[in-house]
Amino acid sequence: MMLYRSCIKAILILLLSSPGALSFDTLRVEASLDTLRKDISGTVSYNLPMSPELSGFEFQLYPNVYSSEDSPYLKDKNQLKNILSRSKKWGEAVIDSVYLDGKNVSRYLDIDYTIAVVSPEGQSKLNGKEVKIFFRTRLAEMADRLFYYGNNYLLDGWFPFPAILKDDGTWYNPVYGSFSELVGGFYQFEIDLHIPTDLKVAAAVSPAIVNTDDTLTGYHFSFGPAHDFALALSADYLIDTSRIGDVEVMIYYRDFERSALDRIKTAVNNSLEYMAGRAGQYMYDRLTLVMADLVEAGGIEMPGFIVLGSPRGGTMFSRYYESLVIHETVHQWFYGAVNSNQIENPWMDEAITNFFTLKIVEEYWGKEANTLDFAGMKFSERDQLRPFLIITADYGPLNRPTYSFVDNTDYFGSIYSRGALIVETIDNLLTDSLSRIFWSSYYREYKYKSPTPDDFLELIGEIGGEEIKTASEKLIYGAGEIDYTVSNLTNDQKDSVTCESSFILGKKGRIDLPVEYCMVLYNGDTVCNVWKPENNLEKITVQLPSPILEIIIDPDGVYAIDGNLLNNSITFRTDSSPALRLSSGVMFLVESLLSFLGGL
Amino acid sequence: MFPVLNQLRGLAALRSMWFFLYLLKAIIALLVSIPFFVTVDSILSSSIFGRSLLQTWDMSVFVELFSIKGDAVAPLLMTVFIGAIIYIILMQFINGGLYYAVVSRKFGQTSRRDFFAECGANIGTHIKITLIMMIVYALLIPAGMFFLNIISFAGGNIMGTPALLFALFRLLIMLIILTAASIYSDSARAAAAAHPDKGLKEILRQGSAFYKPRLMRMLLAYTITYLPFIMIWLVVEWLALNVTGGFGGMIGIIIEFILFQIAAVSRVGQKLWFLLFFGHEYHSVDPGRFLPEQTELKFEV
Repeated sequence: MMLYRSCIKAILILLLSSPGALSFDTLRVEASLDTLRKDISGTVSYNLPMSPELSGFEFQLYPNVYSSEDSPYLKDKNQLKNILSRSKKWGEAVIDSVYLDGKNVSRYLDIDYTIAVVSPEGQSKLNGKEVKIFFRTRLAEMADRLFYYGNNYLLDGWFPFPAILKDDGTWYNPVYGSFSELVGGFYQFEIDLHIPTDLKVAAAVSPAIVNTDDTLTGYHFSFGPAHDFALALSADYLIDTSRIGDVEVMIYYRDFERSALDRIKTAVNNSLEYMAGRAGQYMYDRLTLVMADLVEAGGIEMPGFIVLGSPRGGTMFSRYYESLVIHETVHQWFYGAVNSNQIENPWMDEAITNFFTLKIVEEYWGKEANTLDFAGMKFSERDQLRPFLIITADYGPLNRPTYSFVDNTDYFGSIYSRGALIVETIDNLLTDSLSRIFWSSYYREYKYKSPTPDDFLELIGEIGGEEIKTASEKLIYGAGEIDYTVSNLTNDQKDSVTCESSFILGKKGRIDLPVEYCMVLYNGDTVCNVWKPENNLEKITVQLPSPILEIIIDPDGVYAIDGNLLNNSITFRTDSSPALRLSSGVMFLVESLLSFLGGL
Repeated sequence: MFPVLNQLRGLAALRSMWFFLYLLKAIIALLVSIPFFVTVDSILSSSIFGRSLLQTWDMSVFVELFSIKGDAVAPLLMTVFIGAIIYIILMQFINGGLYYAVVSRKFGQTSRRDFFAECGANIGTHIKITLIMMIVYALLIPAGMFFLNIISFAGGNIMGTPALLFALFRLLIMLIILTAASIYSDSARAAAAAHPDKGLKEILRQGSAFYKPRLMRMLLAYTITYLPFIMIWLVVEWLALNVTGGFGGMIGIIIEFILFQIAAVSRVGQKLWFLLFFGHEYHSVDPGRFLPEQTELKFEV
């Protein structure tokens, strides 16, 4: 009987966890691109969900983020706002009409910025009915997601997209601010698009050519499940195709970008390999990367599709570009497949993605000089993250919505930098073996779903236990500096075989978890203990066979979030050599500056 | 051999001036560096985190220092700024004697009394020239940047090594622009040494008269004197890295410090070498008060 039940259970789990078991609504788009008018017009159709009961419906008009200087999206994007203000080539979504099961309901349409609401009077139980939207999207000139530049096009968020229906029957239709990215539910996309024949098409899937002549070609794209479908079009694109494992990697580039191809392929290869080992296999058969001229963005991630800012003019002196490619590739797991809400909980994709970027960079290029190793200067990915630990410590908790961030330092410092180190700390607390189980479980459980921070923490509790869950909660929901310290080391030789040593261990911040500290003795031995902090400061007195030479708290760097690593160790034999070397270098710098200014 | 090379011999005659000019710069740089040392040592001496600095310029140590002592950056920069102002003022004093020595072609023979008398007599003129040059640089740097931005469009589609070479090319253009301005400054100062009795306007006019037809020649001379310095500097950097990477510890630091100072000394030597040539050239064209007195020759019939 037990065996029978177990078999049934196993079959059910297999069925539920296979992608085929999940069904996704189909979203159909029929459209054509007018390269003279720089717009796309067509229809979007989909069926409203069967439950809960609906008396109206909402959809998103993303192109309106580029509609005017007053757009909330442009508020903190000064460069982009200036470009559009000068050119006056604003973007916009125009809705010609909306049909519900063939009946025109356009008069019930109300549009405010990107939010479109249709509330047909006297109608209820709209569930299951077909929505058909006739739209025209005017493209902005030079922007970050949806724009044209010369005869190059990047089309993301280019058609009206359904808002997200919540369990209580209300719609989630976000206001896109400066730090927001597209949000949406999962669909199976069936796209028919007519574009000029001379343009090469880059998308997450290879299209089928429906019809073609000298001027216009009709393509059909079938892609899903995904929460976004983007394209890049250019007559100048060259295509590099390679295969990494089971994944076909296609890179669309211009001739002058050819020399970046090897770097991109190496970075993609490392990302796919590492993420397959940590979280799970890449979710689609193909990964498409395109290079484009982006304004105010290094790269943009979409499901199965990555846009990289062109490296033109870049010296490619460091591994910064590889780091960018890795970041956008990791987004395929966290944002692409695990579709957390970027607007409400941006850390769930950006901080986690940046954490994995850090791990991949360190795995393949070492910890010390993985970004730059030039003329004795060693610069790492971690060195770029750590300065923001203290700067943003008091800005607010990690779990904040994008619209609560006041500027770029607040958003990028808190989410990308501090956030990545918070996620690393949680990962370290889980230890390596549990970390692997956690990330693979998280990916498996929330693939093609939208987890919340509570889901994330619940899973941590299940795998790592309540203590780590509580610590993680404090890290994610709390603000303020976290810092472990060791100070006031003294040695007192009691007799020929005993030395009494004392020192003070301290901590700042809300974490109360035990932390390891190691004492290196003059006789060469190392003694390690664990400090379970009950107060912020504690004097430790130990009797050892030899005096203590140095003490290191958290020697393995478990608390990556520690704001000051200089006070994590103390040595009885003080040494001014590092400061002398630095000062010698500074003196030479000042001499060079004086020569420049004074002529001699 | 190009005449500039002949002036190398003159450097030997100026070795005490060379040494004292280096010493002045080193002392100011040292004084400016002391607050930095005190600040950094108080953090690093008892921590083992900064030890990697003994082997390499580990940026993680800089990052930690900057993170926890970010508030100390502004006062330290202010110290450097004050040191630079003091140095510039002192240099305006010294310029009087220095340009007197090179334009008169009496280097090595100028007594200390004469040297400092010239320093004191011309300090006002040199300060005025410096103020004018500050305005010139303030206009020239943004104009140069604008020009470089325009030519950057030409290299807009390159990347990797060609982009690096193009960046170096743009840096070179900027250096040429700034060097050309500094040569004008030298011309004006040389004119001030030759004509101490004339007003600033006339000095600038005399300087311009010398500068315009000889700019390319002077740029070439500056480049010839600069190349050995660049080579010394590169060798010093390479040796310093290997010394600290190889020896580590205090021995490495001392050797590196000496190497840095060799580079600093060579920089002073480079400018003195150029000034010797420059003064010699200026004297040939416009000797001013250094024109040899006319001797009346009488022939007995």
